[in-house]
Amino acid sequence: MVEQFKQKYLEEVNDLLNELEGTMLQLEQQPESQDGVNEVFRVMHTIKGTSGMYDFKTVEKITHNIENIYGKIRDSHGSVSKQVSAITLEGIDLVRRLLNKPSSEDDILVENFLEKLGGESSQKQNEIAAPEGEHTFYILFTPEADVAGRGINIKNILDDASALGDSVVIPRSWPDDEKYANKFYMYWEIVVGTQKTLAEVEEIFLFVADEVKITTISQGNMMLQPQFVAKIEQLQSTECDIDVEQLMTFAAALAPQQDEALPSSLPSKVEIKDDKQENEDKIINRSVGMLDRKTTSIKVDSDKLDELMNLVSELVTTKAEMIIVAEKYNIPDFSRLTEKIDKLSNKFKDNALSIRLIPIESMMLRFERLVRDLSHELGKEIDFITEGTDTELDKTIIDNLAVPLMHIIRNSVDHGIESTERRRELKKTNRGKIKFTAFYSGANVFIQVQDDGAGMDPEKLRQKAIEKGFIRPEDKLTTRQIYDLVFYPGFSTAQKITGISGRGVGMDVVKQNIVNLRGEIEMDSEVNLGTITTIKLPLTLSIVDALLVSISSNLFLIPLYVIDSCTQVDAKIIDTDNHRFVYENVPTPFINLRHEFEILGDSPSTINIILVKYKDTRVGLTVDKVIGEHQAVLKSLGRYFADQEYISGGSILGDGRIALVLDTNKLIRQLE
Amino acid sequence: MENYSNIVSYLSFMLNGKIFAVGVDYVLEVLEMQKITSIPKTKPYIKGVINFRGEILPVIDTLFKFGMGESSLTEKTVIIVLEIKSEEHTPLQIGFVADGVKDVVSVKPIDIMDIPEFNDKNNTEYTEGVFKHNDDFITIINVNKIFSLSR
Repeated sequence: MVEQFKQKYLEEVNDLLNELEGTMLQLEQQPESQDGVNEVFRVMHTIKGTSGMYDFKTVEKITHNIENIYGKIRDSHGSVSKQVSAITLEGIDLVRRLLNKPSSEDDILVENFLEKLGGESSQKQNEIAAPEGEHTFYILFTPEADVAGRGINIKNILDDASALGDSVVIPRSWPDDEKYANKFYMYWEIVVGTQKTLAEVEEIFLFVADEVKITTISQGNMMLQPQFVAKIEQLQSTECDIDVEQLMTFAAALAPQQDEALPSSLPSKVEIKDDKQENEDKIINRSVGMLDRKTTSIKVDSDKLDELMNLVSELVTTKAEMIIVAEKYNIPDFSRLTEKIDKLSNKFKDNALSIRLIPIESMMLRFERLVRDLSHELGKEIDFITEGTDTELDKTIIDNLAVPLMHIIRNSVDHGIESTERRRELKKTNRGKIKFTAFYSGANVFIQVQDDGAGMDPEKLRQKAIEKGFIRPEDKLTTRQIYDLVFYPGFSTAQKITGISGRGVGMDVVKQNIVNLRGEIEMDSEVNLGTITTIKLPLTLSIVDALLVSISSNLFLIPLYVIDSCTQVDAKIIDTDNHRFVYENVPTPFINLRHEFEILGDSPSTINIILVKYKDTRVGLTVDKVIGEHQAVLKSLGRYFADQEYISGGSILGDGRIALVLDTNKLIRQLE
Repeated sequence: MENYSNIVSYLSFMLNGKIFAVGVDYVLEVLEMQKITSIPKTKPYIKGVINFRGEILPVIDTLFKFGMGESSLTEKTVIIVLEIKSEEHTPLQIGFVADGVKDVVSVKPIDIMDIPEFNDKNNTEYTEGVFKHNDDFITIINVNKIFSLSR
């Protein structure tokens, strides 16, 4: 369980970091871009929030500090200096490293980095390259033959040496020669990258000082450089000892931003290495680091998925034609192949559909965790209740929902639910309640987050909006409009800035996220009773199991979840005046769809009535024929039909025909 | 008519015996007649929807919009699919029915004349101008007005 959400978090942060890199590169071109500054601020804010939740304290600290810098730039409408952007990129790399490849020297790196952040403008760029105190040493350890007799434990020495840091220990044996008669039959070469000083390394070999030779290969830990490690591995496999001089040259060439003269053996064009080249080097190094990261899922451009879906529908359409041809000619071999293609394309279709759809359940874990951790931290007792989390949504929607929902739930925990003492005073239950509900309604999926907390006082919100200059004191606002003020940029009701919520990147960002998904968001509140946030999302790409029915040649889909039962009746009942028929001994109202939709033609002598649930009762809908169940990919009818209430969308059938999806709730309400 | 030098191309089509034209830049495709799925309880000028490249595309009866009655659908009817880009929204794709397409004609903006006031006000509201091609007068429709969502 823990691994599951941690993985999700890592993926999310990695994605954010990648995006941020792009933004930083743009900012280097246009350092005064306020959009860029805001973007960095928001990303840092988001990472800070989630990192705090999953207990990545150092990441939280780093992002908090960077966020502060950008907060200042934003407030002063300043621009991003070269130093700031360099340090931000360094911060990005550091966070990535901390998350993906943690190692023992991270603490030092973080400390250095935070120090640098403090004096970010005075620091010279050169010093950023190699953290102080890191070195790479070459140790040649050639014990005498009597070493064991002197009470020296070679194994302990080697263990201590390799524990210095990132190390490679290469055991060697002497050639069979008189020359080495006084030597122990083995000797060792050790390459180690460490924070320890030369003196500290020498201390390990204190008792064998005459039998060891230690050389400093370079400043900085070269063992972190994949090329260097590869080189060592290559040298290890050869019979001869490592040529120290050569290794030093190799290390010098690898070290970034080294000011020393470059070895003459390298081509001269490297000497005119410019900033761009350096950037490329960095990028290469970074991408090498990224290889370490294992991905369990991949992000695909949703355009590609759309394209896939379109191809699948075309395939299904073509297949339907093929079946007709097969039936016409009745060639056994061809029919068999057609049947196979039919099965395959159905599987293919289901698969392509399922790629896009994921249940809301997939993101619930982190909300549960959020509520748990946050309530703990704030000393509140909160029950988190979820309902309808098997509701499926398009992946793009889910992806973009997590962050806004996180903000909403966080607000409920932080500002909504009162402290236990306060709840007692108000004679409420000690334990607060946050309820998360998801459900389909017609063309939409609704998600609601409801708390039984303090609620929002419209009058306070109004005063605040006046203070902030969003409205004038004489403006008359409805309660609805007042609650909508919460979504104004810069409107945050938090009194002080905390790690938990409130910095002005709050509900406005949430709203923007929802609007980007072509959704709507609304808040409603009652003082001391609680707050309810409702998000309405389009079903554009959602899928729904429905019953396909026809009236003359018109096709309609009725979602299975509203259907109670079906029955066949004599068409004569349509003519009854009160539009009621007796079903299971109960007089039941029905709607004559043919008449209602003004469809020409006559009903067959036996018609079908689909009984759908409406409030606490059942209402019948008359149709000519029931064709069967259909898994419908819902498509919006488009803006032209925004006022069309009965029809929540359309679905393209296998043969290319369009069936309209009925919103029975609205249909019945209108005709009631 | 800001730019007098540019030649603009129009797709001309027949509507109730008259020739109309639409800027070719808007035209995505001209489709043969196919079954149009009607949508119950909708505006009278909307013929219905069709399956266009896997998406649902509304089809408009331009004739009805012009106040010239309802188009009758025959085998010769075509559906002209347009894409109207706007700054606020994603591009709007829309189809409308015509009695057949004629030609692509190029016109200098200077040759486009304002429409004399007809007694029917809709005629000028939904049009941009008229030009003479061979012996015919061709009326240019204003796609932004005629397919605007607000009406």
